[in-house]
Amino acid sequence: MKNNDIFDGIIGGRKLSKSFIREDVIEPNGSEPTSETHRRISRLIALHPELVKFRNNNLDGLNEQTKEALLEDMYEALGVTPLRDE
Amino acid sequence: MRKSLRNLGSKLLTLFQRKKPVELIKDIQILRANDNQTVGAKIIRLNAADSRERIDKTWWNLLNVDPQDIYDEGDSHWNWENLVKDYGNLILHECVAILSKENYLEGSMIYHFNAKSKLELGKGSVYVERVSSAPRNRNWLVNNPLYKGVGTVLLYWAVKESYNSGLGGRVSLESLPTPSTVKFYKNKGFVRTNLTQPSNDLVDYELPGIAALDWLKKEGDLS
Repeated sequence: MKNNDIFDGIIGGRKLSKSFIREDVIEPNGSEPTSETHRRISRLIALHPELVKFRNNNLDGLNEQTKEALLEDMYEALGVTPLRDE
Repeated sequence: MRKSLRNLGSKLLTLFQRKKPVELIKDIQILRANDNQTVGAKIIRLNAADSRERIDKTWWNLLNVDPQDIYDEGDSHWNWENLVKDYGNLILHECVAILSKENYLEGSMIYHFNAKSKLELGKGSVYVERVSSAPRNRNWLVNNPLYKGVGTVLLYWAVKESYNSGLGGRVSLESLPTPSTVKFYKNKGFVRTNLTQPSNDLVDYELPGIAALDWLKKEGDLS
């Protein structure tokens, strides 16, 4: 890490202004995520209503392997290349 | 009698809350200050009990620091427990911290996934509401900080979260434009946006998607 890359300051303290909150996003109302994969799927469903057609927030009936496959499909639809450590 | 029972109940509740397991999100590396070596640490999801016990009740109990210096720190009055209670269990908001091998929270951050980009109209961004390095890591406050660049690690985490959420790595924030932060933001490709109402000297910045991808590539996380 170079000196220019070192940041130890303090950021913010102000809530996001209402005018900069997206109107097309609705907080998911499904059950609490049971894994990080589950959490990511719920987030993608909420954030990309135009691209992710899967609208069922309740993922309780899916096993972890199915959730991972679903997440992979969502990434493909969104054009997200998985990062190195994912 | 009633009072002592109430005290006992309160202590038991605190013990119970403290025993809630740490929710690990990812293994990461942070930079130890005394020898510039990277060492293992973890990104964890902050819960209210940890915020109270390990940030609010711990961070500012520093030895050999003038109370005025603590008062002057912009975040010394922040109540992380209450902040985490506001956002803790919501999908579109995250409260995270860096847990070091010393089992100490070295920095913390709150961010939101439902923000509009101020630079790329019609697109979304992660909005970083708060970032703090633990006071013991601030070289202007203590003589021998333990870790450095904790804030960088947290901001980079926000970029990764934005990318992984299909938001292109875009990150927006509001910050005091001190010489060191301005230099850092410029180096990373943040752009001043200044679209919200001017107040208490905070300046709006946003990391555009292209700069975010550059940062991810530079770190070797994206080919």
